[in-house]
Amino acid sequence: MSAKPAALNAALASFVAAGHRVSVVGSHLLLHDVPIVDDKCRIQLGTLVATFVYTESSITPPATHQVWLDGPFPCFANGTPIEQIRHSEIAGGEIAPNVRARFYFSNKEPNWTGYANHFDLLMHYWRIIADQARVIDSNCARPIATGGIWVAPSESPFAYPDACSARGNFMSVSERLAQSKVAIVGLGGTGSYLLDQLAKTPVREIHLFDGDVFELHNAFRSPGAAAEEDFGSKKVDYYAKMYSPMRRGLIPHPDYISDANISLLGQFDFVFVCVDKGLARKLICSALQERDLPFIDCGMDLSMSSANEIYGTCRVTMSSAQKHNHFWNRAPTMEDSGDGLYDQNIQIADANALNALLAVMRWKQHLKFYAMPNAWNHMEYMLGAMALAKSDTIDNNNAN
Amino acid sequence: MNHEHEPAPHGVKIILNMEEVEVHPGHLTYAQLVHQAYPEDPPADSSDIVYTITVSHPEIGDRSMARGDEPVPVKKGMVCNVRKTGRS
Repeated sequence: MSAKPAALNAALASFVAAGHRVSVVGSHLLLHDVPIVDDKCRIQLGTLVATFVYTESSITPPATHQVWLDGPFPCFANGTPIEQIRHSEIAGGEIAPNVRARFYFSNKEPNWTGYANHFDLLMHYWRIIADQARVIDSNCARPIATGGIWVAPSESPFAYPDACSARGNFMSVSERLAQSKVAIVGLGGTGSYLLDQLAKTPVREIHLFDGDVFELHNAFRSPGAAAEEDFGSKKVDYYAKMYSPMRRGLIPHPDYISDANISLLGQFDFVFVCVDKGLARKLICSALQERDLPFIDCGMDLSMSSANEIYGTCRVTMSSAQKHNHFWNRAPTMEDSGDGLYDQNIQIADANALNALLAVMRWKQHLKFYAMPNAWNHMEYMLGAMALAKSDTIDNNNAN
Repeated sequence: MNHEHEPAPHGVKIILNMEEVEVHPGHLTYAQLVHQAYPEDPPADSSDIVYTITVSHPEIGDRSMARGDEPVPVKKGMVCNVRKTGRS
C-alpha cells in the first residue's frame, strides 16, 4: 500500500508526536535511531522492529511482547550486556524482505497483560536500551531528530497483509515462493484448486490459460460458491475475478495452448499442466522440456466398479532440467486419457483438490519452502487403498 | 503344472481395478498387469499408451510401476490400479 491509510496515520501519530522516526515495511514497523550502548561503552544507533499487521481500516494490536533489533547488542553504561532482554540471534540477519535484524528480544514487566498498541510495546524496549545511553550522554534522553513516518511501497501481490506469515515470523520463508511468473494451463477441477492455493502465495503473476466456458457442472468441481450468473463466462475470467479481492497479478488468457501460442510458455518460472487431452499434454510438456523449464503435470482417472463404487488414481509428475527422462513413461499423451465417467457431473471435487494439493506441495518443496530429503518426481495416489506411491528421485534411474 | 488360458489351480486372488482376479503366484510385470486389466488394448511393452500402475499391500508397501520397472511380487489380497491418468 503506497497511500497511507487513515488508520495507519492514527496508529503512528504518537511516535511522531514524541519525535520518533518510524517506517512501515510490509508487515513490520521499524523504530529508527535507537541509541544503544555497545560493549565498548560507545553509543551507536540501531532499529527496533515489531510485527505490524494492518488493513485499510484497522491495526491489529501487538500479538506478543517480543521485538527484534538491528544494531549491536545493547549494554549497560558499563559495557556489560543487558541479558534481561536477550532471547535469540537471527540467522542470516533478515526477518523479511528489506527488514534486517540481528537479535530477538523478550522482556516484560511483572503483571504484564499485553500491549494495547505498538507505541507502548516499542517504548518499553526504547526505555530499557536508551536509558543506558542517557547515563553516558544526556542528549539521549530524547529522540535525536524530528518525528516522521515512511511507508515502503508494497511489493506484495496481496490487497491486504499476509497476517499468517507475519504473525508466525515466517516472512522470509514465504518469500521463497515469490516467483515472478507462474502459469496454470487448464482450469478444470484440478487447475481451479491449484489456483485456490497459488493465489494465497506471494507469486507475483499467475497466468491462467483455458478457452473453456464456466458451466453449471463446474460449480460442483471447483473451490468457492459460484453464483448462477457466473455460468457462461470464460473460466479464466471467472477465476481472475473471484480472487481479485485478495490479490493482483492474475492474468487471464481465454485460449487453449496450441502451436500458434505455445511460445507464450517460455516466459514462466514454473508451469502447472492440468489439461485432460493427451495430445495437448504432449505439445505443452515437450515445449517446456525443450526450454528446460520446470513444470508439474497432473492427471487422474476415476471409474465405477461393478459394485457401483468409484475408484481410481490421481497422478502428479514433475519435470525439470535436473530430472526429465522419466516423464514420458509416466504421463499419458495418447488420445484416450481415461474413463468417460469423468465427463459426467459427479461429486469428485475432493479428488481434484487432492491432486492439486499434492502438486502444490511438491512445488513448495522445489522452492525449498518445505523440506525435501528425497526429491520425488512422480506420485500416485490410489483412492481404493489410500495409498501414496512415489518414484523417480533425482539420484535413481540413472542420468536425468 | 498350469495350463495356459486356464485358471491356476493354486492361483492367488488380488484386487485389480476393484475386481477380484486370480493370478499365478510369483511376480507380475507391467505388461502382464495391463493385459489383465485391459485385454483389448495392444501389448503394453510396445504401445504408445502410458498406464499408471499402483500396487499396495502391507508386505510390499505402496508402489508405483512404470514401463521398464522390475516386476512386483504377487501377494494375496494386494490392491492394484491400472489407470490412464490423463483427466483433470
